[in-house]
Amino acid sequence: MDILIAENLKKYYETGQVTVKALDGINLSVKKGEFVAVVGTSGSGKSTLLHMLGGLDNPTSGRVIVGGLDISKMTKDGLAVFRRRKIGFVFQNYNLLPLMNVYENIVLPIRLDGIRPDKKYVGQIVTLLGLKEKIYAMPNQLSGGQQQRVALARALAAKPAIILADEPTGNLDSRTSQDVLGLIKTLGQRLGQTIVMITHNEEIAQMAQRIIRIEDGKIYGGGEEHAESK
Amino acid sequence: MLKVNNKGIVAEVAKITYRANWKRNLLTIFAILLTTFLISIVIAIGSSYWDAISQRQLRMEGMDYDISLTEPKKEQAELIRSMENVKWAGLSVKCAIAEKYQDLSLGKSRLYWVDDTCWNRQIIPALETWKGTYPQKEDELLLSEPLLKAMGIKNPKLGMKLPIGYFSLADEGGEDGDEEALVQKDFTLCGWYRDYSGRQQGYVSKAFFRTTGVKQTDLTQGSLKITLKSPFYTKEDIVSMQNAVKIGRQQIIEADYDTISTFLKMLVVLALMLIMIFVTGYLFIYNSLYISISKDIRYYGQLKTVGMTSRQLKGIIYRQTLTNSLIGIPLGIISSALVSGIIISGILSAMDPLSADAVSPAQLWVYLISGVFAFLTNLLSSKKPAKIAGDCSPVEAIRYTGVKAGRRAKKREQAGIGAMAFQNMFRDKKQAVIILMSFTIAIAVFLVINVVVRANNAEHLLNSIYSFDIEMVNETSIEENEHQIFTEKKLAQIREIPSVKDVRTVTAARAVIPYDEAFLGEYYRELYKSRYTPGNYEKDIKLYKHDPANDLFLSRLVGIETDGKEFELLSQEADGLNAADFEAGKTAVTVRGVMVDSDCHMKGKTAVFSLPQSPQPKKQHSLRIAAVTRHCPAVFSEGYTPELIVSQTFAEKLLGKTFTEVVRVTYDEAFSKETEKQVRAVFAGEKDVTYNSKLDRYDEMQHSQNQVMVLGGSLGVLIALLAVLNYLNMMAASIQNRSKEFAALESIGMTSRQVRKMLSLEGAGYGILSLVAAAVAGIPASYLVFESTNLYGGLSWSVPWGSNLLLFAIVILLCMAAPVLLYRRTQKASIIDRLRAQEG
Repeated sequence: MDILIAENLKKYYETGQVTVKALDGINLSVKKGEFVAVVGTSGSGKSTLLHMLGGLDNPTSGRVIVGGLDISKMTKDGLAVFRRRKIGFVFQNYNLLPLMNVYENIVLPIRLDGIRPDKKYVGQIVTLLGLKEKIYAMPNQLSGGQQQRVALARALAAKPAIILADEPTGNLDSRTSQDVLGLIKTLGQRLGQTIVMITHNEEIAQMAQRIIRIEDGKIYGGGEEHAESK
Repeated sequence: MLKVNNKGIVAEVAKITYRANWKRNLLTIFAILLTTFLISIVIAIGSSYWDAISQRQLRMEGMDYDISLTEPKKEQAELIRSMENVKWAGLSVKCAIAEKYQDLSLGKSRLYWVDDTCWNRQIIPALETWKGTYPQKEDELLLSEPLLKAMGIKNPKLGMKLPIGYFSLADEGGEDGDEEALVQKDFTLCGWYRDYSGRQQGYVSKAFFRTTGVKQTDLTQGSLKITLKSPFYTKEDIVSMQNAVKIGRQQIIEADYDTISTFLKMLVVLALMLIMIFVTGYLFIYNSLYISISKDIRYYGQLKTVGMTSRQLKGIIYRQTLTNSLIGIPLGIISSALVSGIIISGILSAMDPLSADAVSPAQLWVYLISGVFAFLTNLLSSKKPAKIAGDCSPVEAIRYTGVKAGRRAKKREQAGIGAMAFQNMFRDKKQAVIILMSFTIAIAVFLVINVVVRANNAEHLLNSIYSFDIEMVNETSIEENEHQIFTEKKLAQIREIPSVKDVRTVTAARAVIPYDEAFLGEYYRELYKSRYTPGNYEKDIKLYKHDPANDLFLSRLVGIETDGKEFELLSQEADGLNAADFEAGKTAVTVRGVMVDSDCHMKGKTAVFSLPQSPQPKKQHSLRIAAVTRHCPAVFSEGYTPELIVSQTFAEKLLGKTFTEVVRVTYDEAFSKETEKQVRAVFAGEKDVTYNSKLDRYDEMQHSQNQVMVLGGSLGVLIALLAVLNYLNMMAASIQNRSKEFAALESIGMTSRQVRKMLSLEGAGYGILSLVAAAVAGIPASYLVFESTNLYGGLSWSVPWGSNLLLFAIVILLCMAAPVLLYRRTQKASIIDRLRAQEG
């Protein structure tokens, strides 16, 4: 069952008299529980694609369907609700809120939905991510790897349909990168989570079940095929 | 070393930096503009307001002088005029009392003769308007508008004939002179004037003055009004003046020895207010620059990594400061001149054409001070990030976040919107303190100004002076033809007027109190020792003992209602007054008057008296004196023996039928013209009733009231504006700065509605905290400021809750709405654009 579908997705930017085609007719689908890596060089349009899939940006044309819902038609606030319920974002620079401690950062999307956090589930994630000791620490007391683990915990806490990770290891050293990726993959499998990860690193991309290659806003491979599970 | 020519590149970097930061620079320019504008306009309007209330105060006093010498001899006057520290000294002599105009009672209106100096230098400056000339011919009269009104003359004409019955003050009877001395004379009106003293009085020519026989040295009649070169004098100055003129036994120099301390107190308070306004202005500019300090430091760090020296960095900052100042300061000055010179003057002249010149244009120094102040504040605040960047290595500067490392772990499990709002308020404690402080100071200044403005409002001023709306006096009291005018029927007619709230009466009857050493001994000794001594003590007391009913020693039995306002006022002054005893006629209050300085131990003594106008004129009654007061609720007095105030019930019991001397009426709505018209109509055509009306006084003051109201109102609005704009500017900068955070919150699913809710809660938090702090600081401060700037002594301090609560409500609403509106307006870009814009 396809949980994520992009149909003829286009994103054009007008800069003076030049039209930049960041995405130029992308078609892709992702099955539930799949771990997909989107690979491309800098400026290929991979981040733009991720933003479109997560409803962070509006496409110029085309549709994005998540769990049967066409998000292209949603209002701004509707998209925000959609994101906190269906999408878990992991950013390269973590985007943690500096005034909140680890626990508060993790449960924020749940609290924003007006729901009491499932403490047992959150506790499980925190333990799996090795953050138990740091649960009340402030973001600026954590290392980069720890901050990214908090971001991952936050993405998982609301039990989203899809996790979208934008260069999650971009700011981390190689050892910590391996740790974080291992966690993403393990947790994805254990929790049956669909993951779409962006990277420019081939080696990292190899950890995914399927690799989608994007260049100049177009998919050059892997868009709708299923690679063998590693 | 060769000098490197890098001015060009520094200028170019400065230009690029300036353009890149245009939004921030716009806010800074706005802050500079407003600071310059508000400081200069607050000083300009504030000083015009001060001038207006000082001018009004002068008009309420009716004469401009510092000290006065009573009963001056010619040579004393000459000596004083020749003194180094005396600017000028004018002579004023009260020489006659106008009693009747045709058959209308004038309520003993005083007629003065004043010399040229007094008229030109001391009286004219205290007049709002005047027409005609000072009396030259023997029959000429210059009258105050209230006296013309009492005569029933609505449209006075120069040269009109005024048949007036007067008596000279040279007569033995003094101001209470007897009917035989009344002289009928046809005067000619040569002018009239309006001040705000409300006094029914007039001025006569020197020729007329001579005919009265009054001398400038007569007790309480003559007075030398002295204007000093410096209005600040000490008791020593006055004593040395007294010694120099060899002051006589009964003479005094009337002076207020608190002038210097009052002035200093006022100066300190005004300086503090000014400092507070400057501090608000300072914080205004400082805040808008401080909010983006981390970004600036990072940027300067980057510039340093590519080799820019601290000196070059300073060059960039100076250019930025100069550009912002060159735009902001002139705009601020122009706006200030436009608002004070055109808008406020326009409102004033629209309300009253005479008031158009009430706003004195701000003087150059005001603009200069506010401009220099704004520039320096801007320069100092702009230099701060460069200083921090200069104090650390370029790499440290690049990484500068402003957040201190090692922020302590917080064992909390909150992430609700309210908790987030609370955390945001204090995310940067220094910034929170600055925001709260500047907002608090501005609101506190508003609260203080508001109290002063309200206290000086003519209505409030008059309400403090008058305990009634209109007072009506039966002028036949103590006269031969004394007869009841305020009959029960007439009083009932007044009470029946629906808009009349309260009618109170004061009755009075002649009382004879035989000399009693225990009760009156000390009082009479004090009286004869005072400068008002009636004459020879031994001789007079002998006469008193022999003939207690002699005119000199008569008293009055004054009756008031125990359940009314008159008793309430009396209780405030007379300690230990028991209403039940007073009502039952067990006790009385005695009036010591203003001629003696103490209560002369009359309290607790027994007064024995008889009432010649009662059915049993010889019968002696006795009463215990429960208290001593200075002021008598009745208008007329007879001899020197203190009056006795009793309950009307008791007075009626003794007298059978009482005589109502005074009626005081209060309206449902103070200053109601309609009610006043109806009340006056009850005694229409009655020649022997005189009126003392709060409304008349208000009408006289109307012209200055417009000025005071518009200027005071503008001042309040401007200060409130300062508070509000300060907050808006800071919020705008803060929201601009938190753009990335909002984007991050939205990316993880916070709806813009939730962001708005969080922002309005933050705003409400700032608003409430500032208001509480401002109220705690501002209300007591307003009391201190009020006390030190209170030109009119009788004014009472009170908090204008209505306008304050309105401001509080506006502040809260604005605090909640402003961040939301600013967020809506500034956070229009997509989440991704905002997340990226803040990176690097």
